[in-house]
Amino acid sequence: MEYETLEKNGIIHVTLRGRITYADHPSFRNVMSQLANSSATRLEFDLANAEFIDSAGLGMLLLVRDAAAQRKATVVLKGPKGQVQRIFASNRFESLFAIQQ
Amino acid sequence: MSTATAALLAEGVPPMVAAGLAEDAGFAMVGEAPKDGLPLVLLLSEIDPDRLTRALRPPTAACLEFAFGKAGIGPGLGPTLRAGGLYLSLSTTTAYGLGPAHAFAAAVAARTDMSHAACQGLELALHEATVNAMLHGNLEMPPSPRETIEAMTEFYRSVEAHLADSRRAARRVEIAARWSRAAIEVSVRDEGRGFIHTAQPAAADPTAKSGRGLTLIRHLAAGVEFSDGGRRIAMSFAR
Repeated sequence: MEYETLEKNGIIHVTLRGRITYADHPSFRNVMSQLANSSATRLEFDLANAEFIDSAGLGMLLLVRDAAAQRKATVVLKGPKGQVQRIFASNRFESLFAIQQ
Repeated sequence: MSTATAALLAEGVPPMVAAGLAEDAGFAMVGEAPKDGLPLVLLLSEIDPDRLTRALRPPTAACLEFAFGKAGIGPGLGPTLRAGGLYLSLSTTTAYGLGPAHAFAAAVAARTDMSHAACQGLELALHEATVNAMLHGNLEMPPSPRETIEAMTEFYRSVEAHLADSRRAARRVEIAARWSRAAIEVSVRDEGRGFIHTAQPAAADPTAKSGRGLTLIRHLAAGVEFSDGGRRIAMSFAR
C-alpha cells in the first residue's frame, strides 16, 4: 500500500491507498510511532482508495486501536468500500471502531 | 512427439536445462505458440507482478518459476492440465514478494466470467491460503499470537530470517484452479511438514490480531477441504 500522514489540530490523518497486506507492517509501525510521539487524540484512516485488506491488515488496524486506547485516543475508519467494507462487516469491525462513510 | 502432454516454452532459462526438464516431464519444447493443441506450460525466471499477469493470460495453462535450479512441477500439474485449468508454481521467496493471489484470481475470473465481487472474494481466500502455505507450511513458522506491535515486529523479523534459509525458501507454493459449470475450485499446496486442522475453528475473538486467516477462508469459500496431511487446501466457490 501507499500511505501518507498529516497531523493537524490534534488529529493524525492517515491516507491508505492500494492493497493493505502483511507486507505493510513497517508502515503501520511508523504510524504507531507517530502516534506515540504526538499529543493527538484522534487517528483517522482515509480508506476511500484502499482496494484490498487481508487478515494481517485487520490485525494491524487492531494493534493501532490498542495503541490508541492506551493514550485514550479514538480511531476512525473513513470511507471503506467494496471488499474492504465487506471484510470489516464480517469481522464485526463496526463494534470495534467508529466507521464513517 | 505424440506422447507429449504439454508444450513447454522457457524464458530466461538455460536452453539445455529447459530441454532436460521438458524431457523429464514428458513435455515437447516449443519456440513460440502452442503446438498441436497441447496445453502451454511457461517456465520463467525472475517473475515480477506485471510479468505474472502477462504469463497467466490465455493460452497459458501453467506457469512455473525456474528457481533454485528447479522447475517446481508439483503433484497438481498433471491433473490441472488434464482438467483444462490453470496452474502456478512459485518458490516461497518469490511468492512472498509477489503476492500472487491478485494476478491468479484475475486470470481465473477472466476465464470463468466471474463478477468483480466474486473475484475479490476468491482473491482474498486464495491470498490467505497462500500466506498460510508460505509462512506456516514452507517456512515452518509456528502459529504464535501476534497481539502486540513488538510481537508482530519480531514475527516478521523471524520470517525474513527463515527466508534466508534456502532450504525452506526454495520450497514451492503450488496454486491450481479448475472449474465446471457449477463451481470453481482453487487449491494451494505447500511442501512443509503439514498439520492437523480442527474440524471447526475455535470461537473467534473479534479483537484477535492474528490467526484469522482460516476463519476468513471458511467465510469466503462455499467449501474447504484439507488433504496431504494438511499441506493442501482446496476451496470451492459457487459460480
